Amino acid sequence: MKSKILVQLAGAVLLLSAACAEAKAEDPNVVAVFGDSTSLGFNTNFPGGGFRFGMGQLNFLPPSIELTKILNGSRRNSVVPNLGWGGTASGPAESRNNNNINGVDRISGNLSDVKRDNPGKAYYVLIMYGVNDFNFGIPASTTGFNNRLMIDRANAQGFTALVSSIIPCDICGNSASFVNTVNSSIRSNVQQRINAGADAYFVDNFAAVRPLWNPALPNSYVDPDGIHPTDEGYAVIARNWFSSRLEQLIEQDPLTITPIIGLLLDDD
Amino acid sequence: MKTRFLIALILLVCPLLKAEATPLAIATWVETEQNAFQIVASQLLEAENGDEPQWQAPAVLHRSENAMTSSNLVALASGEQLLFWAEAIKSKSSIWYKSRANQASDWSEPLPLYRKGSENIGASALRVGDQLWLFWASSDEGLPDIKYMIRDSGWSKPQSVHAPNDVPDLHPSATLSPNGEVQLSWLTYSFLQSDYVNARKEIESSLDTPVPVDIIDVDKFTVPSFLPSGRAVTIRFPKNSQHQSLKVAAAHSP
Repeated sequence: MKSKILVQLAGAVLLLSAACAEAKAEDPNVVAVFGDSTSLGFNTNFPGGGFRFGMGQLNFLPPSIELTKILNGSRRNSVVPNLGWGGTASGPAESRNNNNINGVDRISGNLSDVKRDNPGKAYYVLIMYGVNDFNFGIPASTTGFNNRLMIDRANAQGFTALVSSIIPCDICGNSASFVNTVNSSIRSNVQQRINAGADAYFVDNFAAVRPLWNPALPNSYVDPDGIHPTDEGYAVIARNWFSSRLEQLIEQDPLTITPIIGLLLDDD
Repeated sequence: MKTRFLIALILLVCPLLKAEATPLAIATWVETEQNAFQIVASQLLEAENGDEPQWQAPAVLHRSENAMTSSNLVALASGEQLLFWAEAIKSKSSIWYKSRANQASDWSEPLPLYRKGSENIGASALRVGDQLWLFWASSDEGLPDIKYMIRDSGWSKPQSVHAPNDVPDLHPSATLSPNGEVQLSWLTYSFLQSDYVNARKEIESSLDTPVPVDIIDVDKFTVPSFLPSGRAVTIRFPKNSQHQSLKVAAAHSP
C-alpha cells in the first residue's frame, strides 16, 4: 500500500515538474497594434482628455479589446498591447519642434518595450500607417517606403509584421483614387520585402471597411467625425486582421486536460 | 510751388499711412471644413502699446474640394504676395499658386506651377533679392527627388537639385547665407546609416550685396500652442532675410 502511494507521489512530482518546465509554452502570443489614431481606436466614444496614444496598454480601446476577445475566444492565448498614436505619420515630417513622432522613428523602441513588458511565445505587430502622411507632406511612394522600413525594424525585434492598407479618410486629404495610390504603394513595398525573405504579410483592411464607410448609412463603419472608424468599424478591422492572417499564423492552444494528479492520488 | 509740394507730399505719405504693418510672422496651414479644404493664415503683429505681439484670428486664403498641403505665403519686396500649396487631384498631386498685388484685396485665380509626374509635394519658398525660389519634392514614377524653379520676370524651367536615386528625398528647406548663397537642406534616406538623414547643398545666387542680419531668431522662436496637431504648418518671418521660415509638424500631445 505504502509503495503504491510512493509511486503515485513520485508520478505526481514528475508531472508537476514537467508542468513547470513547460510554463513558458503557456506564455501568451503578443500581438501589438501599431499606427496612428486608426490603430489606437480614436472616435467620438474616446474617453475624453487630450491624450491619444496607447503606450502599450493591454485591453485598451477597441482595436486592442476586440482582438483580445477574438484571439482568446478562439483558444489563442494572446495579449494585444496598443501602440497607436494619434496624429502621427509613417515617417518623419520636416519639423523643428520635438513632437514629430512617427512610425519609422518609434517602432524599434516601442516593440522593444513591448517585449520587455510582455514575455511571449511569439510576437506579431499589426502596422497600419499612412493616413496622415499627405497632411505632413509625405507622398504615397514614401508611405510605401516607410512601411518597408517598419517591416525590417519589426523583424529585427523578432516580430512578424502584418501590414495593412490604410482605411478611407475622405476628409483628411485622401480621395478614393489617392488612397488607392497609397495602398498600391504599401502593397508593392510589402511584397518587395516578402520577396526578399522578410517575415511579413499584407492585409487589406481598406476593402474590409469600404462597403459601409458612409456616415449616412445605418450601422456605418465611419464615425460621425468622418475620419475614424466606429466601434463596430474597429471590430470589423479586428476580425479582418484575424481571418486574413492571424488565424493561420497563431496555432490554437491544446484543449485543457482534466488534472490527473487527483486521480493518481486517489487511493484505490 | 507750395501747392505742388503739398500735393506731392500727400501723394507720398498717403500710401504709407494706408500700408499695413509688416507682421513679425505668418503661420499657414490647411484645415478641413464640411468636406472641403481651406488654407488659413494667422499673423503675429506687434502691439502698438508695447505689449507682447499678438497672433490674429486665422483668415481663409484659399478653398478647394481637393486635399491640399504644404501651404506657403510669401511677401515679395514689391509687396506682392504669393501663396503656394500642393493639391491632390485624383491620384496625382501638383504644385499650385496664386498671387495678390500690393495692397490689393483680391487674389488671382489659382494657377498650376508644376503638374508633371505623379507626386509633387512639400513646397518651400525663399526670397532671394527680387527673385523667388521655390523648392519641392517631385517624382515621376518612383521615389521623390528635389526640384526647384526661380521666379524673376517669369518662372524658370524646373531644375533638379541632385541626381536621381532609389530613396525618398523630401521636405526641402532653404535659407540665405550672409553672402547670398542659397543653402538648401532636405531629408533623404541613407541605407548606410539605416535612417533618414539631412542632405545639404549650396547653390550660387545672383545676389551681390550682403544679406541683412535676421530680426527674429528663428531657433528661439516660440511656436504658438493654438496650431493644429496632425498637420504641417509653415511659419514665415517676413522681416528676416536669412532664415525666412520654419515648419512645424506636431502629433497629438499626451
